[in-house]
Amino acid sequence: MASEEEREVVRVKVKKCDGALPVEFRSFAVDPQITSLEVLQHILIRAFDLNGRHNFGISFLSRDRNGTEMYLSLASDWDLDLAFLSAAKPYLQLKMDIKSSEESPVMEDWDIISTKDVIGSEQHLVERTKTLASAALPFTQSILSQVGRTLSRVQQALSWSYEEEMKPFMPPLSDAEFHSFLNGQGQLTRPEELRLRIYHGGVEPSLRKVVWRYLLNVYPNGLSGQERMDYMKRKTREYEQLKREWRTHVSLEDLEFIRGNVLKDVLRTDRSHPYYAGSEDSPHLAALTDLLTTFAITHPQISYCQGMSDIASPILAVMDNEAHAFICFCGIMKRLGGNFRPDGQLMSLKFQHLKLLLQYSDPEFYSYLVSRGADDLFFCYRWLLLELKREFAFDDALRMLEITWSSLPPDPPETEVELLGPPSEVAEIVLCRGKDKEVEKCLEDDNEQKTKEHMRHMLRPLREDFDKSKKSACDDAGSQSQNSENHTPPTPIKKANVTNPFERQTSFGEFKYYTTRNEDSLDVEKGQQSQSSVTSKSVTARTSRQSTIDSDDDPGEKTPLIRNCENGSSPASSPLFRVGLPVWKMGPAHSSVSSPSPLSWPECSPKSPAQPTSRGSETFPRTVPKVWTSSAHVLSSTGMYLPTVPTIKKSESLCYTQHHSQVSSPVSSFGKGQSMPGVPNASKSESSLMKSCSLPPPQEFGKGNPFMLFLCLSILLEHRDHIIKNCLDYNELAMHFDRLVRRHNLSRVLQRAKALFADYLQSEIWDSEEGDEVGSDSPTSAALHSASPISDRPIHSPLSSPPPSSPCSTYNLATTIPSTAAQVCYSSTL
Amino acid sequence: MSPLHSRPQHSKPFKQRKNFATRKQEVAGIRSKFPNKVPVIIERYEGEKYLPPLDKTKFLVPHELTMTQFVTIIRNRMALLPTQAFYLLVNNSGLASMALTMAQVYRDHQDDDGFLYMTYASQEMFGYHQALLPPAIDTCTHDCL
Repeated sequence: MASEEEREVVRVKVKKCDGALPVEFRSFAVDPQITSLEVLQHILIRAFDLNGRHNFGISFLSRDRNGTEMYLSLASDWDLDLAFLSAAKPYLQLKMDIKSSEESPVMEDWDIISTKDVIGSEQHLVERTKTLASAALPFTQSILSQVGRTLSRVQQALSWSYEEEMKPFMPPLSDAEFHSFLNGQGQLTRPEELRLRIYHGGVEPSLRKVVWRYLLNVYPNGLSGQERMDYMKRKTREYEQLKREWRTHVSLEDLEFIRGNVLKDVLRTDRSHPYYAGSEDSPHLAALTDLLTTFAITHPQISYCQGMSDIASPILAVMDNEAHAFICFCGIMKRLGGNFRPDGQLMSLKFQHLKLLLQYSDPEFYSYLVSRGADDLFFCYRWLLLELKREFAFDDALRMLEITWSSLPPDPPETEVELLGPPSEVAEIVLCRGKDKEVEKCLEDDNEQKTKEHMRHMLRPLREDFDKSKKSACDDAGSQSQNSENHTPPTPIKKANVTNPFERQTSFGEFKYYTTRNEDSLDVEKGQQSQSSVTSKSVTARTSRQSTIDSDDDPGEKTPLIRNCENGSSPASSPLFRVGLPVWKMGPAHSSVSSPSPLSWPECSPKSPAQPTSRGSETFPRTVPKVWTSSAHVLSSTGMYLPTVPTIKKSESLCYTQHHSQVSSPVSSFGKGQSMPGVPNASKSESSLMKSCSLPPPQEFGKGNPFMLFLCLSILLEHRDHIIKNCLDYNELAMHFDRLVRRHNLSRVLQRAKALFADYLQSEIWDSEEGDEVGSDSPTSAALHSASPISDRPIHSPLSSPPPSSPCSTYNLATTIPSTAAQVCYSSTL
Repeated sequence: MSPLHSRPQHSKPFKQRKNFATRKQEVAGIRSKFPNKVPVIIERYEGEKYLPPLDKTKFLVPHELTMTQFVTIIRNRMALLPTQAFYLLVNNSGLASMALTMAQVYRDHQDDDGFLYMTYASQEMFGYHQALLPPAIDTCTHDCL
């Protein structure tokens, strides 16, 4: 191993054999520490300019003891390690065998022309300039490719500055930088940091295919490159199996019904985007239809709902592989499935939270909406349902989605993504609908079990829901059947069996119905569901009562999160409501709390320093908030980077040390100082905030996606002045926002949302003692430290030099972050 | 994709690479998937010196496309300059009228295996395996360098 460490760079010579074509050579150098097989393949594709032809085998030349030379196949990261170790002197000789396209699956060798191609003449122009450029420089291939790369970089820079006209946060995550997050085995070692990095700049489009799988929590922790490939292959087979078995799950009639519904939506989803454009028999549309149909059949509890196609479409367009897209879709539906459940509970909670947030951050605008009767915010229905996907142009939406996803803490599956939903017990759905109370009651028994589960999964309202229904289905099968027998004769139930799963919440009206219905019933039953829509006074009163009950019932270790999921609202915050504290205060407060800057959220003033200590630590499961804490803290403290590199460097290092010495106040003021100048409007509205109500903590807020609420808020604030000035009424408001579908300005919305979000997170002084405690077994400390290496990099060259290792780092940065990012220098040996 | 960087994929023409049964089967498969599209094989004339090879040989073309539109698309695929001459010969027999739709061409010229075969060249020529005619003066402009 010592020899490997010595060698920071391995020179590689590649021979490409492609059928009868003349053999081509390239040579370059790679860093063996961070080059995985995937990277190597990527490099080779680029080096030989193999557009789209990724079907090749690699082998390396090795010498055995007798000095006989032979090519060994290089098919895994393990082989590559071996090659680096044994055959890298003086240079590693590789051979590439391009496989002819006949060996690849049927569709790949077809060029499918659609009618849309006829209008492709502008593309022709671009192509022509490219041809001209290459014609003008008839030197060697390598120079050509270098020119190509420089050109594309220039283009990138141009398009970037156009996109982010306000100010770029960071360039999108590049391939080389991404690989610096992987270790030698190709394992993702710092998931939190990766997310943080993406939060600040997004991902390069070509890299989305890979990175989104992490963001969508497809991979379990710690898979190596090879394992990931095997995993995806296995899941792909599983998917294909599921797809073949459609008929065994549902009757032909139902299948037709589902397929018909899916198809109706697919045919109008993102058809203007090239990927879905063209005639209706395009294979991409077919893939989207099959994907959604399979999902509906395998998840009978959710089935298919309008809007799912909007969630699946960007994923499929990025993955460009039906099975992979399905796996990712299952990953995201784990979190979002609740949006589409017929009871609409999750949606009504999200509405409440958004309302709360708006009320909190812009009381003036809120009271305007109240005066217009628009404070139900139902015109934001689509925003919340689809997590804003349809509010931005397709490509902007991709960026927005990945940034939103990266704002959430990683939530990898324990073993693997479940492709199969819980079995549908239609009778049980009926039961859930009809007799919430019954279900509720059976659930109490499982509370403890679920508490444990929740210690592990911090943000999984949906899983909760599933578990809930699954458990109630299994554990209480007896009582269920009893119930159904009692209340309804068996035949009607059977009939319900057929029709019910498809009586989905397909329209807004229906949703509204459910919402009101829910609010009514829950109001009576628990008096909580609609609490936040009531004025804050009564909230305080009611919740204080509630919290007493809670604390009587729960001797401390019972997780409030669980109750939240069941009850819908957040008694988690109720004890805090009672003592009148910042709601998203989570652990013991620091006595050295803060000198809040004038711009800070009003609640973070040091009114009540030590009071919540016992309360807070008692109410929250110990591990759950921590993870959030770490990532959220980093998000907020590094909330805003200005493009001026030197300043950042300085303040960042400042921030870094401060993290360490546990002085929190300057940190928050740093964040504020940095965050605000770009958004004068926002700061203005924030400074005039209302104090009467407060917001749930991040792991509660937005039911698993707090950042999305801030995106919604910033869209609302963008149009606030226009709305108030023109006195738009309810309908005009809805029409105004309907006109803006796919038209919102992403950079402005994002920037403001990030500023607001950072402020929200920062108004909490996150507890550092607890952080230290976890530090040993969780990546918390790594995440904290990460702030510095990431931002220290000059903004426009993510490929740059090793990050300076900080003296006060307990982490050995040198080992976690490779000294050279995959720097590849092509040299011509043509 | 640049003309300099040519890499013909296959040495042998499509018909010789696959036997009749395979080809026929392939057509049947693809026709059932894409009933509205015509399966076309496009290959470079073997003596062609100027035009670059295409990435793919097999094309699925909508019925309603005219030959003009189709030629434009293929030209775009190869990134040809407007000054470069390009001829598409149908079934090795000659030029089809540019006003015909693909469906019409397919009806009249499809091979027994179900594919429609086309060959492209920078110069007009008549018949298969025939020596190139001396270039006409106006088609000499294709010297792109």
